[in-house]
Amino acid sequence: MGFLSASAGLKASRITRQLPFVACEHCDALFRDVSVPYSHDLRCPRCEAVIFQNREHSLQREYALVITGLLLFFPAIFLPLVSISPVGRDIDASIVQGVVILFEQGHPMVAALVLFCAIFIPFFKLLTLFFVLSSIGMKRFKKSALNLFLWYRRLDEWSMLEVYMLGVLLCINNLDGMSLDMNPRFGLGFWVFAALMLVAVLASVSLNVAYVWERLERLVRL
Amino acid sequence: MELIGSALQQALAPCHECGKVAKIPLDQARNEKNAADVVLPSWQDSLHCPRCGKEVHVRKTNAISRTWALVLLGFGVFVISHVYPVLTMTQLGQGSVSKTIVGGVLTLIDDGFWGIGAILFFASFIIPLIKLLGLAWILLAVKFPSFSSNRRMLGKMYRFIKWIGRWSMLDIFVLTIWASLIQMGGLATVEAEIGSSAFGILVIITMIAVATFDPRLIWDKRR
Repeated sequence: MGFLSASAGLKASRITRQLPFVACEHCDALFRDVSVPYSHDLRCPRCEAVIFQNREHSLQREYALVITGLLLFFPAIFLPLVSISPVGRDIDASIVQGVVILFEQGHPMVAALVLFCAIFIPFFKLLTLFFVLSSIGMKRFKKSALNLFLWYRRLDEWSMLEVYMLGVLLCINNLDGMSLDMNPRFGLGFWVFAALMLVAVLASVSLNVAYVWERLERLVRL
Repeated sequence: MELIGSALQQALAPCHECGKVAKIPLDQARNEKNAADVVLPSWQDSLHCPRCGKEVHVRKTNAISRTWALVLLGFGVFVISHVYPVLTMTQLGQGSVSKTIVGGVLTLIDDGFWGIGAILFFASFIIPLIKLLGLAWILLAVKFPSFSSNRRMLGKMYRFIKWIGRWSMLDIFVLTIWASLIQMGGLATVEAEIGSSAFGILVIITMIAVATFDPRLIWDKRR
């Protein structure tokens, strides 16, 4: 795993960035001679959207988060999230089970939506990010990495792990307050899922998209 | 840092896919500079992003008419998804009840689940409505500048709508967990109904509508 060493350039240096031109993607304002100090976000003076981030970021940490996410993924979707025991019987539900049951009830549309937003796209995002980071580190498969990163960006907002998490919490809260003696509790899957959500959100938020694009651009030019 | 007009005036366009700023042919830019309240044409095959290879458009293609179409469709689906029941709950010895989204929320509040009821009502009624009305507002403001002149506010509104959109999936997820838990419970069953499909479609439509619109149109010079 030599390509993970700092000498391979996976870590950004802590310098002020000088940019000859910056165009705001939100309002199309164009700025000349922009300098962004280290650990600062540049806001567009016209529309107040963040247009450039010179933040602390490291592709190594990103890599670690992505691998953790991939390891947690399958336990998180197959292990029971919530268990209830009415009349002394233990019943539990996992993400995959929810999808299967909706499908059986004749709602393939809803089942597919949950399948994509809570399972496929989060997994796809972790996988593509793993591929892109590996590709940057190894300086190979650069064209595929570039195309995959395009898809990563397109599907970004369709990953809804944190929304699902809130849904689980609401359900538990509701079952807990019901007069029926359900005795609801978190399953092992819940804690794995919570960890997966934190890791995935952290990976997504801490990823410096502009920096990855720059790296990919340099790679393709080589 | 110095503002030097819009990127379009300087014959530059950021790629929609990767953000790389590309030079665009000068005469094209001049033609389109003052035509911002109509849909801006794009080069069909002449210009590709030097970095990611995707087509570069000055503005997203047909953004205004496409977003209008999706918003109007969204209003229709919004009505459908709230008129038809989202779930049927069958309890042993008590028969079955079908509930719409708002009906379900009212039941939750009746049963004393104020917080959950409020969150679900917000996620599945208020947020979709805010998204649709907000987009319609922005589109009207782009068409009629006198309608709303605070462009910075419109831009912030757009970014807020984009950010909050995914949380309206909450209802679908709660329903999924409910259905699988209660189904197995034996004492009662919860079955999804047609309203839930409509609601899922509504979430997809509104998210695509937000992505189809181009916030830069808010700032373009109007004729």
